[in-house]
Amino acid sequence: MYEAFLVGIVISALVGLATGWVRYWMGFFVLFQGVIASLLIAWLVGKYLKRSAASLNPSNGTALLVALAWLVAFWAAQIYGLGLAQPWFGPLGYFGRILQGDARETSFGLAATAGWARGFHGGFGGVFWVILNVIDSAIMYLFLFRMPWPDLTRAPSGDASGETTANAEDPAGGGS
Amino acid sequence: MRLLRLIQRVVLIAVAIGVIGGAVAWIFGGANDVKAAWDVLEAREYDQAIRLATRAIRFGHLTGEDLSSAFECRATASMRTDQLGHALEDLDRIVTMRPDYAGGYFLRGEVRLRQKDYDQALSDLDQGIKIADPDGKGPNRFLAKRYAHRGVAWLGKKDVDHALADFNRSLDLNPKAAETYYFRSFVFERQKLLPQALADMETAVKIYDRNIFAMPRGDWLYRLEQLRQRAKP
Repeated sequence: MYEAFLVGIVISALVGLATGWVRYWMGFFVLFQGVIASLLIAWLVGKYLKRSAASLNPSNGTALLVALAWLVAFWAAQIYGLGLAQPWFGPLGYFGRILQGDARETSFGLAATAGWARGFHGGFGGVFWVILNVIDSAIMYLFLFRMPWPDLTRAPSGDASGETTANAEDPAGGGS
Repeated sequence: MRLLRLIQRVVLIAVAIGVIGGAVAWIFGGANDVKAAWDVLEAREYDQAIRLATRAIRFGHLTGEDLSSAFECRATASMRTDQLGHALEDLDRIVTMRPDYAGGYFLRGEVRLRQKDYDQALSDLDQGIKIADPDGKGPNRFLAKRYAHRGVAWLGKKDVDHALADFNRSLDLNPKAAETYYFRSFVFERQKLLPQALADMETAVKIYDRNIFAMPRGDWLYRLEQLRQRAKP
């Protein structure tokens, strides 16, 4: 578990760096950024664990803490990655000004209102920007927490499934 | 078999880089970014102006005047956010790139003026004026601000005669420049011509436009009151 945790931290940091860099140039893709990043982190961690044949099935409490640590690592790296994209490194000042409402960040996404899905884009700052980020991070946290951990102690699905077993018992494949 | 897999991966990576690079070049149109950067600069969104100008510089494949315009926009935004060192870096590039462009010298002179580096500011403003107004008689209203800046640089060097000449020339070009009256009042004050200083300060306060000047009006009113007190017999 410890190894999986550390690998997840490294992967979250790398994905965060890339996300921060892209975010500075293109803007904040509300919700989709969190979804894409969390799925990518979960996929890469799972891929690594399968390759190392590690079997894990953490409790909810552990998974919650691990997901939180990965989210923090992602955010720290995202801020750093955004700074790397800037002409002069200063991501905290950049986010600080947006937070205070003195600057705005280009943001875009999809919203469903009154039964209609529509795209939106614009510059957001201040409280509204914070809300958008909290929602995005909450979705990301949920995806990281609910990631499918590779449990190699379970038999592969093919061996246990009814169809395969039936076929094994009936070489004719169940035909008349 | 391993070699084949390796070649396959290399080809895939090369294709991916090509696709991403193509998409970036398609999304980030350099000229559009420069225009957008100037627009947001007008709207006083300096962080966005810096971001868009930098995007144009890095990904826009710009050359010549377009590239210079992107640097100028970024330098202006940096100057207005008091990042004077960064502004100077960009302005040095503009001056190197386009030595016959007066705008680069004017802006660099303004930045050096803010740094209180009066000698260098004078040198830049002189060079800019030499290019834009070689005979000193041009009717270009936009030069008023540049003469006023040079006047401030002379004032910083305590050379009131040169400062007065530049402020007068500036007001000839634009008689509605409140800032110039404000600065000229200091010249008159140093020359102990208090009535003229008071008259300039009254005019400055009268035509003050808070949309243009960063200086708080309260400071001007305070100075006006001080001059009034001192001008009393």
